[in-house]
Amino acid sequence: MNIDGFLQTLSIALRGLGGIFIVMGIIYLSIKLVNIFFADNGNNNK
Amino acid sequence: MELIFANLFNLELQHVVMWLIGGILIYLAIKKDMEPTLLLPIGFGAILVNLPFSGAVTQVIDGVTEVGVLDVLFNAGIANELFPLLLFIGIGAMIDFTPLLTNPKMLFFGAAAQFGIFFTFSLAALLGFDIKDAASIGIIGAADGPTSIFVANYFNSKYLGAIIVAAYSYMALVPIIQPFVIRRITTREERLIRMENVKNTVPRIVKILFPIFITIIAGIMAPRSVALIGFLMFGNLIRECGVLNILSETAQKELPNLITILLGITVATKMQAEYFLTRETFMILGLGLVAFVFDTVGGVLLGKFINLFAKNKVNPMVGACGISAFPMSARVIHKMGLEEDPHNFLLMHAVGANVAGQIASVIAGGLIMNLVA
Repeated sequence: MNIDGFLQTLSIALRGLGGIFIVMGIIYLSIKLVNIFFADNGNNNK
Repeated sequence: MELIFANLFNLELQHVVMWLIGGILIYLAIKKDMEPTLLLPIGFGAILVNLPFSGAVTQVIDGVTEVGVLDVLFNAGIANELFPLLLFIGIGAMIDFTPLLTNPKMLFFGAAAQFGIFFTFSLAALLGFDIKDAASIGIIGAADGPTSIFVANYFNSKYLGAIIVAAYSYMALVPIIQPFVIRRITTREERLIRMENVKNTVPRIVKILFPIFITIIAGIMAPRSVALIGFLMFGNLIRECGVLNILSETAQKELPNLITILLGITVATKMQAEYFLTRETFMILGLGLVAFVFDTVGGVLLGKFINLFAKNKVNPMVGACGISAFPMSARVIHKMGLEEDPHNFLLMHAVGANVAGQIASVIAGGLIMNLVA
């Protein structure tokens, strides 16, 4: 068992998982904004 | 005659074991239809490279280096990460992001279902793997073969062969792994939750802007993911722009088919007995399963967490689709929903979470490369 190696990965894992949620959150806001901005063109979807 | 049979005496037990492993992979591909496009070439390649003094891989014979064609292909297509990236153009061209664009909340399930990557990363380090190898093993949880190859190759992991076999094998086993895990962490009442319908139309301009925006956002926040996400989104832009239909068809069919043929057999260069038949390989196969299990747990738990506060409940099974195994995971969850309630149609939500998982897994790969490098 490599406890030091494990502890070293914990902060990386937390930052990595947190990072994904942040990136996905920004993508979520972007989609929301784009959808609001172009909502009037809803019929032009093909 | 003696010359013809001389090589027979170079045959070792470990070669025969690898033939058996290759045979099992071919059997699973043909009889069980498990990821046949990759497991069959990998299985055949495993036999090819484990013939004594196989001319398919580089050998040093009497001090003279004879370059093998599979090593040439490996250096040309995998060592420089070209094959997985080209495959990503095809994957991007195949994906319709409409279910995600109409219900962007599903993005967060994509994020949660990457939990297995980071859990396995830490577990692999605890078990004694070097941090870069641990990251390469954790990325099996991306449930995405090209991302696994890309990241493991980036870290120059010596376990590339085992990682790829684990990644593709468990992807094929999603219909077994996910229902088993989901039934153990959800109640029947939760599995019966119906979700409100969402519209399934999106303005064309949104579909065109989406791949461009994603590339810019991911590129700024996780620059090492740019190659992966950029090629994925380039393929999607070809699909959605509406003026490149011939290229889109090629990107969806011929391009991935050609790359897949070469990728599978080339990967087998890392399945030579002396590198593959190790204790670490079996540990990696176990850790790969852990990654898939905890991906599923992460997605489902987020669904349960949201239900603590949300007015419109989500079916937590949909969270499990946040893994990148597309579209298999969405189909599995849709089928599970119908088994519980024949009138509960979860498919659109499940597909939304599943394509979110495709994006999230690539970003996870980029982030882990940024954080560990």
